[in-house]
Amino acid sequence: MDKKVKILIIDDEDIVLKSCLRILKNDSYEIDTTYTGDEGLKRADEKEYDIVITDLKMPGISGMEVLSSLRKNKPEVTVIIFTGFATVENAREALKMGAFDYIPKPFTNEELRNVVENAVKSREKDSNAGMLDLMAIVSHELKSPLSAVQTTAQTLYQGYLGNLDPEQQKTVEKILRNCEYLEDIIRNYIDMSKMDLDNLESFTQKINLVDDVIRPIIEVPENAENMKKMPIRAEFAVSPLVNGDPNLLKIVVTNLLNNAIKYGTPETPITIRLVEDDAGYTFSIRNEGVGISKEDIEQRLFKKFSRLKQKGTEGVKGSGLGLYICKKIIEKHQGRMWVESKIGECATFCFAIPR
Amino acid sequence: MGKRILLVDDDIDTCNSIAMVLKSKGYEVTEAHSGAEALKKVLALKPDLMILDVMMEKDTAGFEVANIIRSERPTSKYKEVKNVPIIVLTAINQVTNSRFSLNDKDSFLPGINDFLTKPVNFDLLLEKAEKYS
Repeated sequence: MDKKVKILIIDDEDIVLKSCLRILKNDSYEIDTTYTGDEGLKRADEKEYDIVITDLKMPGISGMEVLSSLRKNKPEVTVIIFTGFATVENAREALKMGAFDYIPKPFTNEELRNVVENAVKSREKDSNAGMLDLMAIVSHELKSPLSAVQTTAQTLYQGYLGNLDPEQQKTVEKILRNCEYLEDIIRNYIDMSKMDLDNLESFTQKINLVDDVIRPIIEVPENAENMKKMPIRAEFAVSPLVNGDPNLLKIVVTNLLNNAIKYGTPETPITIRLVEDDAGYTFSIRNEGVGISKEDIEQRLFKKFSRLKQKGTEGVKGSGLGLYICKKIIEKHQGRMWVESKIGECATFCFAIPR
Repeated sequence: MGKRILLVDDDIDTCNSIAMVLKSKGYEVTEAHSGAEALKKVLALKPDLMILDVMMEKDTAGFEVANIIRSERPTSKYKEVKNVPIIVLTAINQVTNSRFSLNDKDSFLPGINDFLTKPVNFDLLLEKAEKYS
């Protein structure tokens, strides 16, 4: 987080304000304090606070009034309430009115820190959710014009408007290659917005890894009869039921298969296997091609927005999100993902999911 | 005489391009750029095959067009064209996700013969056009 969280604390007791300042002293917080509800509301008007912590019982405007005014006029502010033992009832009332949480007085350092940290986390999550929604909408909107560009360029490329000389052919290839790149970005953004991984706790649905996940992807015509004419060989030693989300796992298999096609040598086979072993069920997909260096595997491969500068893959573009998304999804399934490669020969991507 | 195809897609550029590919193989292609236009033209043309984008946004959506044509109602206006083969054009996400599954033909919406994903692979397009027309 690069922006400081702005916090306003309202309490009529000087000692409370001072101890808050001491406890919350932290590089990522910017804290102001004030003694009255009246002054607090004025401050909240002048400055965009993220969090307001207010005492309930104060002379003049009460904490309840501060809360209701903030809910009405500044709904984006997270409000936390201080409450004495005698006023737990009031605290419940405050939660009903939209306070994020309450801190009973006297509080320990830990209690105060925890509540504030939770408030910060919950705000981040909300803003991420908003971002993801927006990404999904924009990505969907981009899809149809992109598809139109691809289809139109394809008519040129395949000679429907007359034969192209080599130079023209190369130019149209550039258009198509960049379309694919854009398609990759869009697909990944849509995938990412679908995941909302932080909110996934566990999977209770029983699914068949072969029939519900792997086979449907292999059989999509674009994959089965891919442009590079790479035959897909599938060997399933098992056809297991696992706990999981079929749509998320399909994202993984789609990404791995797309990569195998993208980085594979034309007309060489892609081998997909599913076996049972100590780790549970292990899926692997192998393609012949330039391979991946050990350094890249260890330091870059599964990182967000990372792309490898592997010799022989110049001109192949990607968003650098695909494998990052895959790893996240597999980890959410309590699984593990890894890659084995021989430079200049082959790459094998694997994931294992527990029984 | 070539087989008649009614091609429905509200993206005119995409529609033109696909039509060009089909025409190059001798098909007689009529374009429609909305669901309503498709319903009008299907009656006038009585095509051998209909290729229908299901992601159209304006007025009648693609699947609705298919449903109307396939209607079992005895008074249906579309009786004469009720059995025209229909290939739908769809986004790959829908195919890999839930709506369609290649293993399970029952999950196809009633009356849809086949589908093609966008952006359309021309070889597959021509293969399927030949198969169904």
